[in-house]
Amino acid sequence: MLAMAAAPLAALPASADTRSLAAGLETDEDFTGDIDTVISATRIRQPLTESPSSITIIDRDTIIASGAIEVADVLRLVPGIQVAYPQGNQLAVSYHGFGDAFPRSMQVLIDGRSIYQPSFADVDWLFLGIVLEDIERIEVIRGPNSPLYGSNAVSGVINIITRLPWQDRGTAARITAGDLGTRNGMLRHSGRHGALDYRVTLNYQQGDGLEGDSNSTNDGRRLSGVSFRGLWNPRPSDEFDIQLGHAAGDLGGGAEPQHDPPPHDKQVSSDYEFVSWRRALPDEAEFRWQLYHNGYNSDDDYRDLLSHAYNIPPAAIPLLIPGQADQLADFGLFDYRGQRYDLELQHTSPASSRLRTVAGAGIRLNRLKSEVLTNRDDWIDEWSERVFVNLAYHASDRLRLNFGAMGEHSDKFGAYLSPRIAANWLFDPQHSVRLSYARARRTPSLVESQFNNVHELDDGTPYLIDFIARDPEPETLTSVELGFTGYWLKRRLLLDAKLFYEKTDDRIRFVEDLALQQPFPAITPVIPIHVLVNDGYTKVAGAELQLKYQTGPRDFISYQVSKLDTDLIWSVQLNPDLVLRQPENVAPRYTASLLASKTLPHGFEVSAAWYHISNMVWLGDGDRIQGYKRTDARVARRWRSAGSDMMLEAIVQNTGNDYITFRNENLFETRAFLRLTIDFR
Amino acid sequence: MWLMCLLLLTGQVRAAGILLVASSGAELYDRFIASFTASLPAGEFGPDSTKPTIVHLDEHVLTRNDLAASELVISVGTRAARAVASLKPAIPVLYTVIPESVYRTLVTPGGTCATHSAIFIDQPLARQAALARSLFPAAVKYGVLLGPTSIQRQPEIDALEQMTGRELVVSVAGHEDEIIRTSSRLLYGIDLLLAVNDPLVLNRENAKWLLYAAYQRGLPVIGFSRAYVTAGAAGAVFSEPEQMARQAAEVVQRHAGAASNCLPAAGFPHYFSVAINQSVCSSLGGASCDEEALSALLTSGESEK
Repeated sequence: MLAMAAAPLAALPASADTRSLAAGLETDEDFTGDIDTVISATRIRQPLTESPSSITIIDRDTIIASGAIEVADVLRLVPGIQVAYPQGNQLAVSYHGFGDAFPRSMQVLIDGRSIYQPSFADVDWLFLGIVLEDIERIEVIRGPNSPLYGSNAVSGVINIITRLPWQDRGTAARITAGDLGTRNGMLRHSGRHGALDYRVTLNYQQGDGLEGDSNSTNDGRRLSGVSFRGLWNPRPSDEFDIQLGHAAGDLGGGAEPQHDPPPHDKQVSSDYEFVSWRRALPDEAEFRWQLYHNGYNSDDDYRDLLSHAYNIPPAAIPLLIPGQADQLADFGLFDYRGQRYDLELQHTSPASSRLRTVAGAGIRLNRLKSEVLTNRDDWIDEWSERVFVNLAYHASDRLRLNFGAMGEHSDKFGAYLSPRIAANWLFDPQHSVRLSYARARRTPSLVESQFNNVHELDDGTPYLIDFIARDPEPETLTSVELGFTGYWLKRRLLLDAKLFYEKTDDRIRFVEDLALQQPFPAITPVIPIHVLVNDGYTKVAGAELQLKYQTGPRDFISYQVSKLDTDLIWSVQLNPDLVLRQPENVAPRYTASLLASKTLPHGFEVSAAWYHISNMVWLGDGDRIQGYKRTDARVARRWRSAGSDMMLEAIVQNTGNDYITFRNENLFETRAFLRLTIDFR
Repeated sequence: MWLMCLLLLTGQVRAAGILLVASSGAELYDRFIASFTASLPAGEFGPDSTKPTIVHLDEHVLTRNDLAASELVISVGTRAARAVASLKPAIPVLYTVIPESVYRTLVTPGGTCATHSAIFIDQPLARQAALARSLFPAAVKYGVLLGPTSIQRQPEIDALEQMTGRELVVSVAGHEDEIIRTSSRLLYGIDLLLAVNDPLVLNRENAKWLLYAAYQRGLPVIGFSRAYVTAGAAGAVFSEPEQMARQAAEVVQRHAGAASNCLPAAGFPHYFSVAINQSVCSSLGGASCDEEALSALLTSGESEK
């Protein structure tokens, strides 16, 4: 018996537990080993009832139900936001009005990467580098949020959070076809290699632009892109997020009204490289480091004969520009390159159950190179540094205090501080009122600060001046808001309402300076020189409300409405006799939207959206447009075939009458699309 | 040998002492052993063996000879449990720090007097539910995601539904690849999720998936390990090695003084801790995020039963 007992037992290999996992066997390490930490993509996570700002969350179900074809489409569901098409291949998104073709007062982030452009401070919604299918949700912080997100977050923050690679294992494809020559395709593969979860997405977009253009503007698109996201967890407490993307294509170059060029394209490309390292520290603290680069190239090298561009006989050119014959000249305004490099460190610590802090610092380099926009052939750089801190304090069971401040310094605009303080009173965890005060500054974009749009002939002779920057200073926004957030019916019903007042001082705008004379006035008698200056202030007072009722797991109805009263005081009138546009209704008095979605038996889904915007004026090249009502509808069916999940959608946008978008020539007609998504499991 | 067997049959564990078999020299097992050893009164187990014999499997190959010199074996960890069980010991064995599912595969249930027992490392779902109730009293629909292994806990879930008055919504996935889809559907219809380990479906390799999905929807997750809390669960109940060691020492002392050789029935650990992720708890509107208060509340709640 002893001899039998002495039979040795082979020692198990050291990797037994790992193999057990693969073999589907439990071990005690399942209960004691570390697991990867889940970290929010947002700086600080709070319940809506305790947030210092109003937030609209557009989740994936909402995105799908909306029938959106473009990312910016879904933002119509945010109270107070206006979305328009300056051209068929350009989208403008503004909040509380005052928008032109390049709205530039909202910070837009993708997974923490700021994507508004250093050139115009706007966002090219076609070249985001991601596709709609990659988005998990969009959080729109309505109201100034510079204390957390920096100088461009004056009127709000659009925080786009993409899906994590492991949320979409396998391969998927989507094709969309429909009106306006729309032919879109997407192919995505997600997988895992060791501790790396990755996703690669290819996409292609093609469209003819707005069909209702009376001047047949060339505003189509043909672009393709590739993006990569990898999440690597070398240890459970460490996560590296690596994102790369490149997109390139041809966009119709539109038509400058005074030039009326024949159709020509501009070649646009964008790329980004992003890496972040997040470490979960003891006591729920977190350290994050991120570095990224955005690049954007717009090659608009259209050339035309002077005589054709100005519609005058060739023989007249030497008379109008002495010593010069009719000749080809550059007319592409959007010929520029922009770059951004950004490094940021952030530390998040709960500190205690009553006080949570987020603090960090960053450094940024914005670069612009554009001879046509700046009359310089070198790179123009702006260096800025920032430090920020935010404190969320549980003063009592019912009172929450939020204090935040960001200090920024720019080598072009000096130092400034953006503070915010908010107090939330909780009647109970589901209902609260909020009072907040914030000041925020928006620094001029590099184009705004360096604009020197002088048209020159090939020999360097300047013959026309369009725009000149006259040292604009940052705009300053002061905001006060009173908000209410409440849940009912077991949190299925959410109501968020706020009253607000905003005043923006030192508005940056173009004014015509008749004291300045064109180099050759004879050729351009009616083209004044615009100077970019700080001019007066604007006020917006209003109310916003959003209501969402979740009637089932994927069924809901949401309603959003805003009322805006605006007031403009222009203090500088360089040309009081020649005001091309009286800027009234620069924000629509009313915006409203409604979205309802219902799942039906046999995999069917139906949803309908309704949007309303009252009369408003788009600034810049925009026009005073009539208010409109628009209804979209979507019918979809999901089914399973040959091991794959299928979804076929029929989408109709604007089932009613055509409406004008951005300018009178741009008609938004009824559009219909078919979209097929195949998820190969 | 016959003398030893006679002693065993009467439960008189005295001279030969206790053999502690640990899976390795990892800190977790060392903490158990140190705590267990310190809990034993000196001399309790005879003048010749005031301290247990300790074997680390990463340093020593376990043989029947090791068992022959012992009267009671305590395995610490899954690997140790498998090693001990493979020798089919005739002496009493207390398996500790072991998942219930592993124990069920190693040991055939005995009759009324079991010589094999276990202190599982799993936590009873009722305990997780008690924490859930204290943290989020308004939550009425609890979700549970089960897999091929954890489906064995279905009876426990059924009993829990009766006991708590909460609705338990159960989804079953067959494989890891199904977790995203299955959990997505599950998360739509619940107020809170009770995490249950399953090696094929929900394990520490992919727990972040579920945590993230729940986090996105603002749903609290109640876990069964401190790691869950660190990773983003609102709270968790779990047993520290010292707490399981304390219970093991109590079992051994009762066994030493008992007239019979029977060990108590295998079961969940009696002693436990509560951990709360302060950020997640407060951001999801937890009624109380005080670990000590919650721990005391749950402990007193269990002792009243």
